[in-house]
Amino acid sequence: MGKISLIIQREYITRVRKPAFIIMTILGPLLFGAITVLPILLAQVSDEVRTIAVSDPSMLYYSALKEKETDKIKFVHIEPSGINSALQNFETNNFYAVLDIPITTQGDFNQVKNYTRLISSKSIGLGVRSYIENVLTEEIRSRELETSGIDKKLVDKTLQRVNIKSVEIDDTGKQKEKSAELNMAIGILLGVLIYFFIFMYGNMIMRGVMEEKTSRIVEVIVSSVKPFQLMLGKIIGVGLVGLTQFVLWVVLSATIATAAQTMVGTDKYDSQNVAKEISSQQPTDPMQKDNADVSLERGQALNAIMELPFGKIVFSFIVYFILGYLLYGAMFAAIGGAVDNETDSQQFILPITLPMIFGFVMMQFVLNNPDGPVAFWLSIIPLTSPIIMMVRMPFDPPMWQIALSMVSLAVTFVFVTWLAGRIYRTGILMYGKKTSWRELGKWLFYKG
Amino acid sequence: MNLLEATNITKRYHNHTALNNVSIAVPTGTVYGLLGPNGAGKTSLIRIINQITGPDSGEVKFNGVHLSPKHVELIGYMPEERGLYRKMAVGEQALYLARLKGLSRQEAQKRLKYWFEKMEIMPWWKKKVEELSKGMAQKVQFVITVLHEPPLLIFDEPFSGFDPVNAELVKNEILELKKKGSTIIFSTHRMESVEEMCDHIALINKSEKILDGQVKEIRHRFKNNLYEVDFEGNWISFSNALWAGYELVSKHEEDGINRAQVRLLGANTPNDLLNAVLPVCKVHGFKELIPTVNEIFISLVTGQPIGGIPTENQA
Repeated sequence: MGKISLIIQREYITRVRKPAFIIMTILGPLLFGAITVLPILLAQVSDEVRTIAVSDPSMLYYSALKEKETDKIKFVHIEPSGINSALQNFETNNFYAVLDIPITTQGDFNQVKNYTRLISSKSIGLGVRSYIENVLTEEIRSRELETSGIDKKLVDKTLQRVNIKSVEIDDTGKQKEKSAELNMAIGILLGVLIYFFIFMYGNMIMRGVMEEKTSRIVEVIVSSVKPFQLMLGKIIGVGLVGLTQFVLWVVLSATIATAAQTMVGTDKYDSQNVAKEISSQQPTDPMQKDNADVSLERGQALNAIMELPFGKIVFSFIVYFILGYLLYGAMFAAIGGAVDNETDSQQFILPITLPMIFGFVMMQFVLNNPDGPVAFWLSIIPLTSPIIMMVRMPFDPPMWQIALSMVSLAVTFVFVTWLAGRIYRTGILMYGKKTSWRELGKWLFYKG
Repeated sequence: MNLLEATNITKRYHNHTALNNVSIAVPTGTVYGLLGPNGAGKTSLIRIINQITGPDSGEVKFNGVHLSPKHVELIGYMPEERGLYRKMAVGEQALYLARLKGLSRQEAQKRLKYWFEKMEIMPWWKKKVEELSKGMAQKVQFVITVLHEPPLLIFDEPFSGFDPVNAELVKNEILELKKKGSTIIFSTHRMESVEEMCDHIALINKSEKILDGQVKEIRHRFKNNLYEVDFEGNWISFSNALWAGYELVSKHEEDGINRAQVRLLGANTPNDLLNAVLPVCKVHGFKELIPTVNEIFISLVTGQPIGGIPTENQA
């Protein structure tokens, strides 16, 4: 055991000290931070007031637009004859765009619907255009209603939105609120995390084994320790490197995110406000949820989060994370031992990673029916179970399925590691020979 | 007393037999040469002794005890395919490998300091291996092999890849280690240094041991009544003098001195040979030709008889 810990130490320390590791560890959260902070900053940048010159010779719509002015979008009326000069002097007039509404009459909406133009020297943001479109559409709608003698308020009343709460009753009769979207998001996040972790660090194991082989140090080492110990030490060492990076990422990301929020100012620009602002760009859409709706949904989401089987999720994440990594890590180690160079490794990598890629692709399918037979089998079969079971986890699959999946994963891990060890110990001492699958098969039966 | 005994070792791979019923016994405190052409099975045997692989049948005993994992600390091994972690600092790496052999950190550090100074590689302690010259890296490998002062040292083709200066250095170190009481197994397909260094040899060819024993004893076992005569005189009369009971194997002339290799046939003795040729020529030199290990090796591997080889190549 002492020797394995020496190997783990070396694998861990040499990797953690590498500049690439340090850079990635710092850069990762910065990137993550950038992704979270950027929308907030962008929202700030777009804070500039956009003045739109409106040419509305019939003066039928300008007042409606003016009424719906926001902090960010202002409207100024110009004469149709002023369009050209406005177009030529965007900068000096400080106009963002010119809205050209054709001459029309009170009852005729076709002109407005089909011939209104928004002209600008730069490309116009989708938000601005759809905002104007919405204002005009709403205006036309109310006028149509008015002309037909229908009370607009009545119509608005008919446009109700039903908000269904999904509640699950468990065996004890206890009720739980559920949010399918949230479950999906969490499921995908967990599945993707495991997928990338296994791929990144599996590859790292393989390259490490190949390095030992090509530098010819491996025979010196296996005269001191058993090849199996060397392999296990490497897998564990690299796994710890991955965990370290993972933990540092989480910690640093959280720190950066908090720091960024305090810096930018929490009240006005937290993500909820951003969401509100984005949604407030279409205030006239009757289908739009009003604030009450939003907060209602948020409350539900919160409830749903509270109702998630957190303990179970965290526990099983750790189990699948570790077992899945070990299972694939052993296979990657065997490949590294079997080949002489990176090019030759390709033919072996694809077949062993295929199940994982398959699991990754099937994630969406499983989410649509998290308790269906496909989801069940993929979460029991050990090669896909680390990803698929994690995807299912927020949907609270039955305990016996989780247990079955974990046990079969653990058993497979032991078996595969044993097989991988046999390939590994033969492979690392074979130089300059191109390895085939048949060859690997034979190696399994060599006597230690 | 034998430090290491391997008995009836057989090792098969899928389509060939690497070792077929091979036994060797390495006496304590000697240098044991494992000779054989490339692919004969030397490395397979060495890997079995190092417990890197296991035999299909047969047994290895270390100091009379069945070989087990605890013995790895008693063996130092420098493989033929040897290298170091290229990206790791020399000192740190040496420390790691020494600790894998069971040395404590302090002890390893102390001994490494001694050896690095002895080998004049101390200034490279903090350098990465990839910055080292090949000769330098080889010195490091040698130090790592002997550092834990194991009673048994195994060198697989120790001189392959070494430049002549380093090869000499390593050779002297090996002999010094022997003086200090270490037992050394070394395998090679090059015979130059075998007689100089080895006390015992085993010759392995095509997975089988075809010969073993003390170097001196083997050489005498393979002598076959071949004598070399340097003389001044006439070749024809010299040949005529050997009309019966002798075989003139080869003749050669240099600087007016003739050199003949003559095999004694029947019951003839060296004295008879001298008596036969003395009347016809002036004898300058006379000696028995004892075959070199190289000659025995080639003769056994190729099946050609010993002798008829130009004398320049002989010791």
